[in-house]
Amino acid sequence: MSAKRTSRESLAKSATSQDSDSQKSRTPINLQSASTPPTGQRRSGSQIGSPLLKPGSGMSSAGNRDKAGSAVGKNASPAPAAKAAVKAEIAENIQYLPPGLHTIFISSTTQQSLQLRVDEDLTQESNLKLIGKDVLLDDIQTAGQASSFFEFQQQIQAYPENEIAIIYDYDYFYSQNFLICFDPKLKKFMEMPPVTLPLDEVTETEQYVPPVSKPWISLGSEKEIEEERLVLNRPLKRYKIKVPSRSSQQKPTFKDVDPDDKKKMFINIEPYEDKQFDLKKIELDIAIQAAPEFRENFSQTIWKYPKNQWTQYEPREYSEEEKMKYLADPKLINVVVNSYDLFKQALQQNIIHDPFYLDWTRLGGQLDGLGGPGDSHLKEYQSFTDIHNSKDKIVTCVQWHPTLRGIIAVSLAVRQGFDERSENLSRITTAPSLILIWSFVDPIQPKLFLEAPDDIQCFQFSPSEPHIIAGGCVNGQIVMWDIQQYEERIKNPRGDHRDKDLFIPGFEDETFFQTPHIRFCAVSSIEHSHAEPITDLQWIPDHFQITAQGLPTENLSMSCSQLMTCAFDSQVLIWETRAPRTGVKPSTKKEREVINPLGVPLTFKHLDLSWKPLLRVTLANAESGPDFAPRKFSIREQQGDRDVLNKEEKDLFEKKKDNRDSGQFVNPVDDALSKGQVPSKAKVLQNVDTFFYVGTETKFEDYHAYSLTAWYSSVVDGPVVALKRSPFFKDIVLVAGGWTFSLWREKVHSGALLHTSSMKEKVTDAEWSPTRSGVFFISKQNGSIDIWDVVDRTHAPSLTQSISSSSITYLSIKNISSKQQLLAAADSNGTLHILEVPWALRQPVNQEFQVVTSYFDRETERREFVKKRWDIREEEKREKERLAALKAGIAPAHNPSQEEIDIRMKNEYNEFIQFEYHILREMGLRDENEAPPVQQ
Amino acid sequence: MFPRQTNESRRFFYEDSIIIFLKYLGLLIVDSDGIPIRTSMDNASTLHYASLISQLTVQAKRLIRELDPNQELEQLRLRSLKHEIIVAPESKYIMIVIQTPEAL
Repeated sequence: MSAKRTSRESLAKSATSQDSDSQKSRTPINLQSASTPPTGQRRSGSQIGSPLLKPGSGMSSAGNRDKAGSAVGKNASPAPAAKAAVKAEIAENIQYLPPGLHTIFISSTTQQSLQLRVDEDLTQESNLKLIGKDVLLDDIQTAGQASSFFEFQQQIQAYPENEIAIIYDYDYFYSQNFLICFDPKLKKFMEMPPVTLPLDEVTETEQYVPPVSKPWISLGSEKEIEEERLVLNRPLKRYKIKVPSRSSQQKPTFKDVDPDDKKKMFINIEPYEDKQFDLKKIELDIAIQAAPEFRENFSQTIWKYPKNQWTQYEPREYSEEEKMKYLADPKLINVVVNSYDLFKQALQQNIIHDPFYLDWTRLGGQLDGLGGPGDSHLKEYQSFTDIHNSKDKIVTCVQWHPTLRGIIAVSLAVRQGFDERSENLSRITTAPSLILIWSFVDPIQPKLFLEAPDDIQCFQFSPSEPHIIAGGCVNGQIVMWDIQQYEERIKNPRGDHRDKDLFIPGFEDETFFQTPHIRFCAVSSIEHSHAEPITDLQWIPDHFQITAQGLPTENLSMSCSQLMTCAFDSQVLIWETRAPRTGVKPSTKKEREVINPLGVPLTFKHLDLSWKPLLRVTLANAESGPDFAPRKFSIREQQGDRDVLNKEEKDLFEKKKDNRDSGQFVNPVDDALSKGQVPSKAKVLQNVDTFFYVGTETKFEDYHAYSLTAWYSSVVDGPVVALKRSPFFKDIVLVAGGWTFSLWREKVHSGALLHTSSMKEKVTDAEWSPTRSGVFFISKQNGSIDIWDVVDRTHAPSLTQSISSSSITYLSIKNISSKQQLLAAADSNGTLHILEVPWALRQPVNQEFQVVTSYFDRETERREFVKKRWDIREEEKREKERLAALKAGIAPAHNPSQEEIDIRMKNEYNEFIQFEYHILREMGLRDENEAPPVQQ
Repeated sequence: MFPRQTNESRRFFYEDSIIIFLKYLGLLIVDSDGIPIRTSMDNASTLHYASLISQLTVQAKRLIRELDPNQELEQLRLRSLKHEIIVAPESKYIMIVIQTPEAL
């Protein structure tokens, strides 16, 4: 119990100590009646307002205060000392007073008048009293200021209900002895407090009191029980009953009975159909629930964190001391000694027979070229044809780009003869004449179109400046192009028109994907050009140039600037592309823009339309007769061959002497001028052979010093189509034309070194192999190519291969790399075939050069022998005639004069005419009356 | 001391003669673990040859023994395009000679 007084200890001090016995006896009852209305209710009502009062403790203390309260009531004023001690706590408590409740001190007289006497009308348990509003107001009126309720006068008046609750504060918890309530809700709450449930503490505190058994008092029930009771008078009886099994004990006896026995000692049970099972299942309701099988599986994979790891290691090595120790090891010495012989043996074997000798490598040549029948054939590598521009055109010329790989230019011309061309001359053709520049990367679309004023018959890249192209037109003009600004485009390995990703979508430069058409940048003046189609054009090699006098001089700029052309008008022209020194002053930029609307490069602006040839060589026939119409020409000097210059330095004077000796070689003008020019830097090159060969419609000529025909000979039975110098022998010329071709050596004029019999097809072009000295290619009109190998055989081509269905018009060969050689063959359908030259035709055979050299030397000797034989024959013939004349008699040998021969022949002819006439008359083909024609 | 002296002199005689005899060759003496003891080649290639050939030799030895337990590997000659490697494996030491075509 003392534990429950914790919060109340201070008050307990003020109260006189109570005997605990009485408390003890009262408390349980108090607790049990906590829910009973009169006391518990009211007390708990006040407790709501005072949070410090725990219900249990409050009640228990209430018990305490019963007696203490009475003491206070009797004394009227409690012990002052105790009061002072409590004051502090009371002051604190007042603040917990709920709104609407006010402390009030009601004096004992007022208590009496209002029947609020402490411990009489009001106790600690029933501490609530309702007093009428008017009673209180009366009290205020009568007592005035002395009234306890004076200070609440207004609140009392304002109070809506009639009765005001006055609560007795038993232990002065809120500093006064009474509380007055001005809150009707609170009042109601106090009147009917919520039911407080028995608390946990109650169960805690409840002590087990063992029940005390009470003495039994008989009220007559024992009799009833006695009546109901069963008492056994005797022991229970037990019976065991068993049914005797007679049937099982008797053994059955069986005997045979006749079924026909009339006694019917047996029952026959016939099988019958039981109706019970007649029902047939017709419909069956079966419900099946299909449920997907559901399974959950887990698997845990381990993710290993990738980590860079490294270890550093070093080889084990012995230190010097250890090495020495091991070297001194007799075992090691034994090893060395024992294996010495083995090694010696092995090494000797190796020395005797070289194990590294590879028979195959010593066999010569590359292994990949061996075997296989197709190896010596030309293989089609690529073919170019432009759907729009190559139609109905023939390829007139094919040129490889001198520096860039895989770039090839093709000139196209209308497939028209001279007559057709002249007929169509007045018509304006919309299709421009073009040179197509192809790249191996893109076989569909050409890289560039070069536009020309007329069909191009021949053209060539400048060997020193490959962006410059010179072409010869059908109308006799020379055309120049400069493709410098398009070089990047040509080099670009990808096909431009498909290179869409170069541009942001929507910002494509449409013109970029189209092949640009490049206009020529210069064209020669018509008056000074050739009058007939240009048939051949060549850049003069960069190591020399030709003066206006026709003298070859050293070219100090080392760049090609001169052109040589020939045309049917029996002229060979030499052109200078550089601007004359006193040329047109360079135009200002503004002027250029005005002049240059087509964006033509200004490289050759100074030449355009006013270009005149530097030198003109007319191929006049020495004898009367038709003029020569040059088709092809060939000069001895070749691009990139600097031998002449080197030789020039060495033995200039010596050479001059030699030249004079050879007679034919020397041009007096050359000599005279060279003396004057030697001191100056541009030397006249004595070693430059000023002869050039011209292939004409019918003949093969040798021109000297650009002036006069030195020699000519009809060597082929048709127009010369090719005149090519061997890349190995500068003096060997391949002449092709008509149905034959022949090999000639310079200055050997008695005949060809090799002359073929007429072939079945017309020869269209010829080309030397750049790597094999004895191999050349001959293209023919039926679209086939003959490959001749003089090392192999000279009487027939070593290989004939058909390339195209139409005539092949041009051959051009290029050594791409040491492993690839390409032959370009263009046909009259405008298609360009690129053929790969097989290894066998590319790789020189052992000592080929020597073999071919000796072959040509032999043939040259033969020619000399033939020439000698001619002389001998001539001599012999004369001798014979002389002898015959002597034999005929002493009479002077009658040599019939020309007149006599003519008369004799005329007579014979007349006889023939007569004879013919008679025969015709007999056959009725001649009129009878017609006089026989007799020629006088 | 005496027999060792002779051994030593013999060794130097033979080794020197080999080196003179095989002027252009690589000569290696390696122990059974592949650690070079004496070499006439540069360090990197020595280590390479030593480790690789010693491994090969172990394999070759095993091969010969498996085929016939009474057999013993005497010499190993490897001929490649550029070299001939001659190996003389003994119980504890391996002697290697590398021959190049230039030596011939």
